[in-house]
Amino acid sequence: MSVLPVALTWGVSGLLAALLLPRLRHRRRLAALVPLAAAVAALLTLGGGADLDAVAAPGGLLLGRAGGGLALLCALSMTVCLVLSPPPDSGEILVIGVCGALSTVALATGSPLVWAVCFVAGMTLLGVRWVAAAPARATLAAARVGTLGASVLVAAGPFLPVDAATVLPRAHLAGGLLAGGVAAGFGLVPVGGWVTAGARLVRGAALAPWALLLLPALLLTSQTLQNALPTGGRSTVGFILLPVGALSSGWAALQGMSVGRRDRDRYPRVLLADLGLVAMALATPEPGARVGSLLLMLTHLCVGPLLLQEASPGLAGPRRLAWLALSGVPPTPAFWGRFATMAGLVAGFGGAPLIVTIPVAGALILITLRAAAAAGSTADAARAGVATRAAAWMAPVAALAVGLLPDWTLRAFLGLS
Amino acid sequence: MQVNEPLLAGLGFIAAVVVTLVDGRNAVSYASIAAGLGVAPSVGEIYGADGALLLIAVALLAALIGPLSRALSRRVSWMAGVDPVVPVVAGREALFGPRSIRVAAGAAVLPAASWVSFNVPLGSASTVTGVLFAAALVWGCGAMRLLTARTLVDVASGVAAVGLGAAAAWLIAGGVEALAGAMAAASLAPGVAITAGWLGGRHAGVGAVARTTT
Repeated sequence: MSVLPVALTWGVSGLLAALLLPRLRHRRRLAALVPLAAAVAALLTLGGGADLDAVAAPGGLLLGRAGGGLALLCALSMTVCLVLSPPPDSGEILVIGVCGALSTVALATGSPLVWAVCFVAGMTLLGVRWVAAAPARATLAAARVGTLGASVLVAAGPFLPVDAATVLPRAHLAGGLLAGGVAAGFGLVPVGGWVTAGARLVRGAALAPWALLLLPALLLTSQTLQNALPTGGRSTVGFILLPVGALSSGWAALQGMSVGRRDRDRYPRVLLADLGLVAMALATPEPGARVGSLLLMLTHLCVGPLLLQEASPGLAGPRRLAWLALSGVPPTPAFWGRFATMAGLVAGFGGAPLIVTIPVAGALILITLRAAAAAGSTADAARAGVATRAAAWMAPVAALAVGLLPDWTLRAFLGLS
Repeated sequence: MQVNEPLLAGLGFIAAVVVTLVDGRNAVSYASIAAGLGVAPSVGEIYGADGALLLIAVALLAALIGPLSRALSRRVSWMAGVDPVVPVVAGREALFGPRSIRVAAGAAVLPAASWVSFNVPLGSASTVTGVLFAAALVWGCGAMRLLTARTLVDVASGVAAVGLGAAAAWLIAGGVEALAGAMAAASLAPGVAITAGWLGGRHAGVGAVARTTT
């Protein structure tokens, strides 16, 4: 799959929408057409085999069917998010378009430097946008830490013709830089405060470029790159990401338990707890861990567009179902994702990671069930529009479909058997 | 030809000092020019003149395009928003100001850049020459600028330095398609110059510190 049509569609449609939609005051919901156009472009160019660009380019990061499938899913997820969001302003639309283009290029490029530059540009734009939307210490921290984390990935780039990185200091340095960049991008402890603090100030379409575009691309590409590192670099990545992921998931689960009735703080905590598990999974090349993290990512791509929004009247039913899909009770997709991740971790490191992962999984069940109950108890007298209701139901139904057919979903969308 | 290591390191050091200290509405332009000129000789020595020219050209483009973008956005329309040179959060009175903190952070980068340039092999460059020093120092000072950022201009200056430093390191590593990769990394500098300039023109004159709450 060539990346150009999809990236250009993201960029050009985002720019056009940013220029034109502010003039059409009552038609700003048409912003959802930006990711929808990119989804159509991704669908049209989705084919079998590997990405031509990636194969032709040197270095690691050879992505093919999985990258194209993820580009399609991200665009669809962003479409649903924009249908459910309050109408975005031109700055938000532009950031979404550019971040979509950058995440697509990051998924397809064969150059580790270009890959990292995509994340720097994306995180910088996102940080600037957050600061402009809500100037505060938390959003400034997001601009600082998010951009710095991506810059660390850029620093790893020149050390990453991975075949040559067999000299120990170089392999360790590259691995350490990659792990640091991934930790900052995922919002892990101790550099992850920007996500929870920022999520209190910006929601919906403002938070979505990170959660639905940049984050999935970072996850998928980090998996590939991590597998392509030499042994020294891989052990450094594992040495950093395993404890940091365990700490993050434990801390996020604890915070999620103490959220109480503040619904808006709940989803970022659950997302961060799952990201902690995913980071732990990145520490091992076990295929089970990889499949588990991909299923968790798919789950959040499905429910994220709905749960990233403020709870709004008229959408209590879909929210309740989305929380249930996140609960981790079989056969929800979160169950398969967490189970496969744990199985991969046990295969890679023995039983020790279970000391963290089982309590975290238990805590997440409690948090999500409480959230589902809270969503059900809100007044639901108001009626949302047909398109909004359809989009809101689409999110949890898609998640449940992933839970019922996890193998098929991974094969159909990401080309994994 | 023998590499004049102290001269290359000295140029990198001067560039890093400018990247660390420069402030104000044109900070991104000055930081880009300094970073480009500071790392270009090292790249010219190892990769070749075309690499050095690329970095200088991109740095000059960033220096020009920032004010141009600002002038253009002034003509579009003024609207309330965050002026990129105004601190996002009000700082408390302290013994050391933001510049002092940046200098202290930049000083910590020096030994790290030196260690990397002498101990980590990169591409065809020998570990003895230490030619990576200038690029590593400029990247490190850009990263420190990001870490200690109080304004959007700080963020933009840091990203510009990071991009140019990474582009130089990529050229020194000398892989396949080195110029294309370096151009992608260096393009961060004009990109952030346009963004900072645009915001500066659109929101200039918002005098008060935006907000002090978390």
